[in-house]
Amino acid sequence: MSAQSTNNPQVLNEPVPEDSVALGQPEAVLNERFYYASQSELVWWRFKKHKLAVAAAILTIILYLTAIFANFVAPYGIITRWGMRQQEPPTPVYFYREGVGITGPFIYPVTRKADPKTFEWVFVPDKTKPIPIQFFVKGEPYKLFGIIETDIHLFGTGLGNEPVHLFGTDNLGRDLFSRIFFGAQVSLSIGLVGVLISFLAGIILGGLSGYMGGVVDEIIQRTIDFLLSIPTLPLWMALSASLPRNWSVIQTYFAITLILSIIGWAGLARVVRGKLLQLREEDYAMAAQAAGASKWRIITRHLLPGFTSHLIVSITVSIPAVILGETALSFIGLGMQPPAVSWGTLLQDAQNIVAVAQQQWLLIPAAFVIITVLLFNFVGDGLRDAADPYSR
Amino acid sequence: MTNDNNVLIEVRDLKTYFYLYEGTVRAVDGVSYDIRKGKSLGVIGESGCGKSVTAQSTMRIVPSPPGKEVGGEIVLHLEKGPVDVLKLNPNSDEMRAIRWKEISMIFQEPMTSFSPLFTIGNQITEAIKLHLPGVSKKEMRERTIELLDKVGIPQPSRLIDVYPHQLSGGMRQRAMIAMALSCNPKLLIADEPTTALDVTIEAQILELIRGLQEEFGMALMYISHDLAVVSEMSDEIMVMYLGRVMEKATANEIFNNPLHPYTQALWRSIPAIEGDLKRLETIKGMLPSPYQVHKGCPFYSRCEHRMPGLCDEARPPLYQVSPTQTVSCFLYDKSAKAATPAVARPEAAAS
Amino acid sequence: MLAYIARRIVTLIPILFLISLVSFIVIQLPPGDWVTRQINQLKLSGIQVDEGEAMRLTKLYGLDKPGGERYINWMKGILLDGNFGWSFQWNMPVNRLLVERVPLTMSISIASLIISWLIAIPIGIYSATHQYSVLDYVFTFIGFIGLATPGFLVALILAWVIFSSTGFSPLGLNSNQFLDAPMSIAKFLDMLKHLILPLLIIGLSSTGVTIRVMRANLLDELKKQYVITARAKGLRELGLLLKYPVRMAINPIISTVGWILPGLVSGEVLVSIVLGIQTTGPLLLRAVLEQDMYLAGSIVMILSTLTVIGTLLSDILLAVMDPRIRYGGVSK
Repeated sequence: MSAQSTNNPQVLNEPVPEDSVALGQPEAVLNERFYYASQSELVWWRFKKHKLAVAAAILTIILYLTAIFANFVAPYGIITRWGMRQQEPPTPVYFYREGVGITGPFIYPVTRKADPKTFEWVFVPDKTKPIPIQFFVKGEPYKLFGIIETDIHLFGTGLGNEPVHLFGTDNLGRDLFSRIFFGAQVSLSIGLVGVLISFLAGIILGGLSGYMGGVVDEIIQRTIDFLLSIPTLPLWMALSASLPRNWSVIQTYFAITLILSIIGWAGLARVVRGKLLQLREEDYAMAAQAAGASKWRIITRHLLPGFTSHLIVSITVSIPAVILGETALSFIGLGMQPPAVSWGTLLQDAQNIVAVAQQQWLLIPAAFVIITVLLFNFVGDGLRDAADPYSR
Repeated sequence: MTNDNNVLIEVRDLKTYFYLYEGTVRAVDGVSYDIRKGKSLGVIGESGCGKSVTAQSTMRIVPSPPGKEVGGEIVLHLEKGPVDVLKLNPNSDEMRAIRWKEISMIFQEPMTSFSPLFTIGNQITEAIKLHLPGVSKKEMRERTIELLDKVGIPQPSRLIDVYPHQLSGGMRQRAMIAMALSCNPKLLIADEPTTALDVTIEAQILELIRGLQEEFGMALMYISHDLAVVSEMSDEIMVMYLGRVMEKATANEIFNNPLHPYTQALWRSIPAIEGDLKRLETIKGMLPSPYQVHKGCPFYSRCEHRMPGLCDEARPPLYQVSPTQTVSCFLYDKSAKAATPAVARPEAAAS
Repeated sequence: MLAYIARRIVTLIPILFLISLVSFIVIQLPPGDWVTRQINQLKLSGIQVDEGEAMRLTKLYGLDKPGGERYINWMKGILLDGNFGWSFQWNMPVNRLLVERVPLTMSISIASLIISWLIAIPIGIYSATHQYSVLDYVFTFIGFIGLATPGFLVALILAWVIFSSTGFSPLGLNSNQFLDAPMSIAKFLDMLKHLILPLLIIGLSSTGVTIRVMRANLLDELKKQYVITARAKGLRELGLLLKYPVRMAINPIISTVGWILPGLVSGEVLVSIVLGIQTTGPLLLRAVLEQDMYLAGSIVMILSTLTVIGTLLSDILLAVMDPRIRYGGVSK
């Protein structure tokens, strides 16, 4: 009580003595289950109260599901091209047809013509022949997870020569909508894999540093200081320069992930070490030691529970940094290389401002990146609030 | 209103409430008292009884929101005439001129009551600059050194330029007292000034405050949860419980003849220096929730002499038991429930 | 104070050593030394180079020596002659390439930081003193978005919005008509016009962080006893706010420079690439794509070193502002 109240103004403290609130209120009895809840249950309950964070968490999960089932969600393949449909704007979807009224979604077939004055391509819809959009429609065959052979897609026109391009097409006439979901596979997974590597390295090195002390601690600490105090992007760029251009997509993928993780672990290691040292000094850890608990028991039963929630928060907030790192590197041509697709490589097409002025839909991948990063931040924020046992 | 021109401050039926998310806290709920010029009033009660809020209301520095003075009056008898500070805007020039010049305050936490970024001297001269215009820089500095010397700070001409973190808690509290005296206030409020200090330093600080009160001829409002300290420091004592006045009497009466069951319980809970060693008693039960509204006596749930049907149904008025002692308890209702209780005139207690 | 600065400089030494070491590794990392690569390129363009010539070049540049010796030689050149090595892509010494661009990168980064503070600190003060007001929620939300949104994507989007709505191309540092013109007031104003967007974008996340930190700190400080003391003394509310709690709340913001500045420099490099501002960003990108490693490694080293020094300066500034650090012995 005394340690806490010294920071608070006396005035605010006085009318609300803490012990009397808890003991004097009748609700205290009803809230009895709070006293017996485990740390993780408490965190979960508090997180659930955070509406925005819960909504963000659900959307994040949906986003990851679409990436896993990209073959199914995307109406077309990753390299499927329409020779006569390059730089096509997003296909408008209609729900209302004159004389018929409100119908299911449908599109009009378009044909590409050259504008005689500007010599630019224009796409002219044929309003007489509506094509309905069908769900669970047969399309290009693919192997789900590389095993299950099927040709069912979430939606489509069912007609090979009259495609629906919800987000338009790129310079080669490939469907941007489909490519964004294939790109999500790389962009979203690299966040998880990268943070996983950082996390393992961070836990091992941070734990080692906090546990061993001495020279080992000193070396690891200085390395962490170094990694956290320099601008990371130039180093990322320089490191990616050494990747051989002839590497396969998989090789590049892991190399990039590794480069991004080289710096990411430092932040996590610092959290781990700092928390370990801090928790070791907490009264309850001292009390456990005084009561004769073994070192292992203190770590697993007393330190880790006070720890995991903070780790989860740190992990959640470091995922977007890795996603952004990959996007940035691929965007400037140093990360994933075509034909591999990620949100960063898709954005390479948007580097030219004049092209973007004519084909605004090329910026749609940027929206996906921003939304993903925001979602992770919302989730992380909610988790952070929930993980602090002394916040209300 | 009294015509007694020795009265410095008259507080009548002061109500200060805190409107919090969890509910309304009636921190001060109808408190009346007087302080006469040069005299001292001790205020005692457990934490949460509203004693600090009472003092802060006097200076209009209750944080708002959530706090608000919702009723009563606080009349300050200044040279130019009486002023009801509750009618003033807390941010007005008039109110700010009263602060520190007329009423100043020493706080509980010497560690945090100075800003760590400015020297002690800077923060003391700031008050002088504000309230005594026309004093030259050199004079301000000399006056500050003199004040520091007066409160027993060694090498004042050097320590005037140190930062708060370079002083010990006791030294900081002395500097705080010097700052409180810097504008010759008529009333000094000491809000548990020794709670955070060691016992040995506590005695020194208490002696210092008492000596300076005499020297400066100030009135003193001494707030504490320590009954022994309060009775040593004060001519008159007010016992508070959950925002209400339980008993008011001279220090002598509180010491020798406590009337309210709460005051009696407080005495039993502190160790006596003389007499047999016996187990200390605690006050039974728990402090009720601060959000609870009491129809009757707030001490009812913990009182040994409670009278069900009476004490929990109606608020006991203040009964005048002796010319200087009033108590808010139905036990002292001589005319039983039938007669209207003689509502005590609080000013009578001050004489 | 001096002891404090000396202590800080001592902790800097291992970091500076690691920076130079990593930069050197970066230079050595691509497969094959650059003489081999150079010769291969010459061969590709049809020029015959005999083995003797290759040997001569290898010896000349000391590439036949072991790694440790080459590192020491490289460092010697930098420390004694300011010689960072040779850029074969530009065919000139690296330091001559960097002499203009590095200051530009650093001044844009620092200007962004200062602008972000100028925007965020007043907003933070308003938000804290008007907690839970409508504007507080609006600012907190904007700060959150700023914190989370990647600057280079915002640059991409805003450049398009500005270009397509006004026809003004915010790319580069100067409009075309001023490119080769000598410095004049018109050229300077044109440059400012081009700089506003990158400065705001690079400072975006710093603005978000600062709003958050300032608001939270000030809310804490406002509850402190010394604020009540100052109010009880009869100080005017605004003067009190600025002298006591705001001054206290600003100090932690200065200490955030340590982790904001590296991000700002990264952001500057990337945003410069997107917006085509001729700072170290586009230079580094080209160097990396061409495997011009002395240039790339030198940029990494110089930017890292300057960032670390910037952090040191912010620590010194903090000590000047906070007597508890200046006189040591901080008590919680």
